[in-house]
Amino acid sequence: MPASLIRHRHPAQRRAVPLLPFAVLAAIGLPYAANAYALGFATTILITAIGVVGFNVLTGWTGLVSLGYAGFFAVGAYTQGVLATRFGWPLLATLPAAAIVAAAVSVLVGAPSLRLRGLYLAITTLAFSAIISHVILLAKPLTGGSRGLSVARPSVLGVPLRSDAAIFWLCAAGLVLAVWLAGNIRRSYLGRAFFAVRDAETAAGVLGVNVIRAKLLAFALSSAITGFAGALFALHQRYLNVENFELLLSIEAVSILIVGGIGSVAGVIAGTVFMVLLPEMARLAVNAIGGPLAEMAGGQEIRGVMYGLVIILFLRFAPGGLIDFWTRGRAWLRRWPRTG
Amino acid sequence: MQFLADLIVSGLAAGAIYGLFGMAYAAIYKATGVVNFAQGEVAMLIVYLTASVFTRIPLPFWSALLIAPLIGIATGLVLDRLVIRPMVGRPAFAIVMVTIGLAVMIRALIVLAWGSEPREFPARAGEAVLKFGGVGLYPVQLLAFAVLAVAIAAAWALLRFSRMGLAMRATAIDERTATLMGIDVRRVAAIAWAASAGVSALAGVLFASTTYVGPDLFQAGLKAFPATIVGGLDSVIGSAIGGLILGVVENLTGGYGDTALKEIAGFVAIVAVLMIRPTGLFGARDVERL
Amino acid sequence: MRRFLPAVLAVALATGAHAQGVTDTEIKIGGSTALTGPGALVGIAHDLGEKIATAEINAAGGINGRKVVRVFEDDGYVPARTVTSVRKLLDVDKVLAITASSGTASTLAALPMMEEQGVPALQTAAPNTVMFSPMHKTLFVVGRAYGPGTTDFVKFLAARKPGAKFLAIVQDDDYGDDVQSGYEKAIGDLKLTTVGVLRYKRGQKDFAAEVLKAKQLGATVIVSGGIIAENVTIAKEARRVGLEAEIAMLWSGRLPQTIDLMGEAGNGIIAADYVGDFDEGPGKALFEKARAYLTPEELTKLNRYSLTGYVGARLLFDAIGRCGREVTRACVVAKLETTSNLDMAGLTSPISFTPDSRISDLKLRYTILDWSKKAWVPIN
Repeated sequence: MPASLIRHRHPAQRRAVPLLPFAVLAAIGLPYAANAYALGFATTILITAIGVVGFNVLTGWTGLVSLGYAGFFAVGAYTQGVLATRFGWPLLATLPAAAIVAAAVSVLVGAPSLRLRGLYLAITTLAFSAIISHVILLAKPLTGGSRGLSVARPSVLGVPLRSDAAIFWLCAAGLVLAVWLAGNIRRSYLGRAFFAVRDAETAAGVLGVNVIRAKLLAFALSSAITGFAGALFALHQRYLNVENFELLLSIEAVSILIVGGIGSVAGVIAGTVFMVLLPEMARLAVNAIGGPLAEMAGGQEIRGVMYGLVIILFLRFAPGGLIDFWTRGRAWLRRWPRTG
Repeated sequence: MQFLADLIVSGLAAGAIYGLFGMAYAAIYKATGVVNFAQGEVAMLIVYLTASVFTRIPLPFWSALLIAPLIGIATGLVLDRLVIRPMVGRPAFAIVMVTIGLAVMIRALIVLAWGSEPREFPARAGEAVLKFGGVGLYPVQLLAFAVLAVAIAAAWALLRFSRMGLAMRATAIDERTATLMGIDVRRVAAIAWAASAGVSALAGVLFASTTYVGPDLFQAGLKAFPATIVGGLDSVIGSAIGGLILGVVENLTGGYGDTALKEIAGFVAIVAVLMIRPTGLFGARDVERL
Repeated sequence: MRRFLPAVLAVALATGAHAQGVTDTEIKIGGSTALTGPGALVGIAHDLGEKIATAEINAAGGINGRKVVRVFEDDGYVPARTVTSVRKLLDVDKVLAITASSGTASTLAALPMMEEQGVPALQTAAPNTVMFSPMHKTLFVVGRAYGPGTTDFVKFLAARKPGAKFLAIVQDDDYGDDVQSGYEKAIGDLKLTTVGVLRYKRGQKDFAAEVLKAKQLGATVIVSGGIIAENVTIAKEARRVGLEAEIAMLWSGRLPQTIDLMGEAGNGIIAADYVGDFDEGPGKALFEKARAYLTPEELTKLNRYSLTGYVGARLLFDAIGRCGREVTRACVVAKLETTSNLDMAGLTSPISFTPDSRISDLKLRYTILDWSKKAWVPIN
């Protein structure tokens, strides 16, 4: 993948985030202000954002295309569900376990395919997604097989996480953790190795980066974060079934990355908000206009058309994604009096 | 023994269609270095278009084997012009993503345009069961073998005797250099998309005739994907053979092992092939572009 | 305080003049199924069935003077979206009861939320044993469950064809599990001969291996646990490989499309169902009535799931009606569970629930597909 698709920002250019205090206030206050429906949406956004932050480590930073997002998300979700429901593990143990199991599985999947260059990871992860749902169905005593698995909401340090608000706060904390972790990886030796592998694999190897090791680590870290998101999904949904983890979920992750701006963590968050809310916005818009389309407005089809269209249009006309608009807009504003 | 023969013949019948899909994947890959994740969806779109023609004009079934590829070629050219050509010069990664977007969109548009009810393909190839030494086949399954054979012969002749084959390979190896050497990269891509859509039109129509026309038809394309990995992503004829192998492996797995495992046998085969011989059984070179 | 809270809540619920979803003039109910996507064949038909029932009762002056208002959401048969839809119905639309929540997985996904709020809920499209065993206080299942239904069906088939060798082909999901357990129960009860249970993957298209295996194993009766396309393909493959076995299928695939798709291969297939068809008897009478409420295009989309949806809505309206003016969720649940022999004008056998049962075991009828008439003909 060439540099043109990716935005780089040197660590020194990191601006202080004035938005942060507002975000924290909003996160604390939202459950008091919003109804359960809106809160459910907000939680979905948080969980999706965490998952795609993880996905970005692999596809955005290391340049490896994966179609296995749904699979690792499922592994994390089922780890949470099984350990909490069947074995009564506490939350502080299940969440790391979900990340670790997902990472371990990814090493297993990645080992044979990461030696190869190119699209092979997309192909193996596609195969992995098909196989993992079969494994979940087979592991009936643990996962409930096709009957699915009801997930208990546990307590943390004695405080029960019964309410939707508690889950929302947990997910908000999870996103902060994921972003912090991703930011640290990015600035480390490892992060630079990932970028090197993406931009010039051969050169990176020559310069002493252990390419296969870097790829495997990227895959493992990425899957760990995605698995963590899956665990939160399990807590939020309270019921797991393989039907929740189909290929479309992986495609959603890909589209979020493209829309937000591949490689950028802020882009991931912008992309998530955009893609999760897009079908709702479209529904409101079409309902307002009325007509024969209105009855289909919330449907799978409109959603599918929009996902597809957004992927194609962004790749064609705005390969930098939403975050690129933001950066360019800011640059333009800064120069504004002088340039037109 | 009869059981084994039945399983193998049934496997080959399914495999002939996988093989056609495999050829469609390989044609685009060989020419442009891109895996078209919308292959099944493109085939589904063509099947629906063909079915619409046949609903209005009652034509005999065999004519579908001519009309569908023509509609396919037209569809391939249109998709190339609208979606792929604007992306020429962009990394393969981006184009692959575009095909994913295309796939999701076609699936949805089909349901919006034609609804989600499964229906019969309007023209029938005949319901008589033909017996070959105790093994029964529907006429359309027999036709699938013939179509695959013709497609293989045509692909071989095209790649062997025309400059196209060379141009396709050159473009896949290095688009920029190929352009500098005077190869019209856009034309190569357009021809590959047209040829691929034409072949997948045949696969789609044959598949729809053995099952039905429905909005989940695209899954046939996804299921045939292992065929091209087994045969070799850059080998058009290898992918056809990969399809036959895949069909037989599936049926033997179902016949002698667990039937539930049959459907993922192909994906298990992918993992095995990538571990042992990543370029597939007939593939020529490693894939380096991304 | 904590000890009193439930009591206070209970009193508030019982005496509150207006429960959620109820005003002086209106009663709001909601449901969520697939109106788009591959599941729409079932979902749209269901929606239309409810639409007929609602139009009918409103034309008759509503329930105790209150009009019924229906909110329907599309979830595309994706469990996570059913949860979102139901959450919206409960928190934004503020409905009294939920009439549909797609299939088994999606209902189980939405269940914790519905149970917490004590929402009366119906499941009429996917009568799976897991829905009512263990029992959920507020979830009422209308139909004959797949498991016990299969048991009845296999026993019926065994009586028709003594000495038969049975084989079941089931889907690898909750539906298939239930069918399989019912199948195995019948085999055990009557000491029948079974040559195997084959599981297939959801969405599978090619059944050559399954049918060949059935032939190899010498099956003479195949219980086909497919939905639509699966049953069609199994019938066609049986004809191709020359398998001389009787094919029997459950109600889930008993749709007009199945007849068309099967062609001649479908001739003689036996199906079990607890509702009839729109072209004969009580179904025909309802169809004539529906002409006043539905567009011609909608009429073509009616199928057995319209009948189940219609019956479910009638059941709910009856329970709400018996609450009088004081309609609350707790009251509707209490009235639903005391429903006894509610007559459905012959569309199904009468519906009953008890305080410890959440399935109305409807009587199965058996039909055979007559290809020349393109219709399901009752077997006596």
